[in-house]
Amino acid sequence: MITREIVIINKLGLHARAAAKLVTLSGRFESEIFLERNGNRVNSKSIMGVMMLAAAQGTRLVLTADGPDEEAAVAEIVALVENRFDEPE
Amino acid sequence: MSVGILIVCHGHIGTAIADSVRSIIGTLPLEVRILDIPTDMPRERLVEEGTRAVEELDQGDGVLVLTDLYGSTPANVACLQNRENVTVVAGLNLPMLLRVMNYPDLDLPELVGKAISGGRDGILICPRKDQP
Repeated sequence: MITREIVIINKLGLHARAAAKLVTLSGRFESEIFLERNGNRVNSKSIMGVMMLAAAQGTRLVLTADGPDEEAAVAEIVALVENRFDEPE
Repeated sequence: MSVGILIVCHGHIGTAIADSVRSIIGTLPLEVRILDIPTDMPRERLVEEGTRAVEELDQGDGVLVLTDLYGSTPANVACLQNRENVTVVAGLNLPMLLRVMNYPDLDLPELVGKAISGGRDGILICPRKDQP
């Protein structure tokens, strides 16, 4: 199991389209992937779960992946977040 | 094969919700038909169109019919489709359709559960900004 803290840095935060990208990416991995904010833990493959985090810019989340492809899952999700979900700002 | 989705709502609500989900996730992974119900359309024609839509959507895995206001004409038309392999759920909102489209591989009973939980989970008192 891998756990990593991530910070949402894009201006619009984890808004609907960004959440959809995260969910789509997470769904490509066999591992179980969770995101946690202030004790609220959601399935990273669930669009409504991710939306319920209401994670604005600057929000810190704990990313956890557990399974055969956990390393790749964490690496790619971190890259997506650090790349601002391919948004300009 | 997968479950077909029929949306039966007042005015342009159905089209607007489906368009919004498509813009959020980039695609609609399940086959969707929309019946936008104007106030002046004869009920017989609505029923006819609903029946035809359900028949076209049912590829063997059934049809989930989503409508907005239970007891209204759109919902009453939708409920006429209730039969084996067709389930009608009222209270459609954006979170409901978003969650349904998140699980395109589920069977009809499971998808009904996702629709209801998605619609309900999207209704909440939003936390204040000064609270964690």
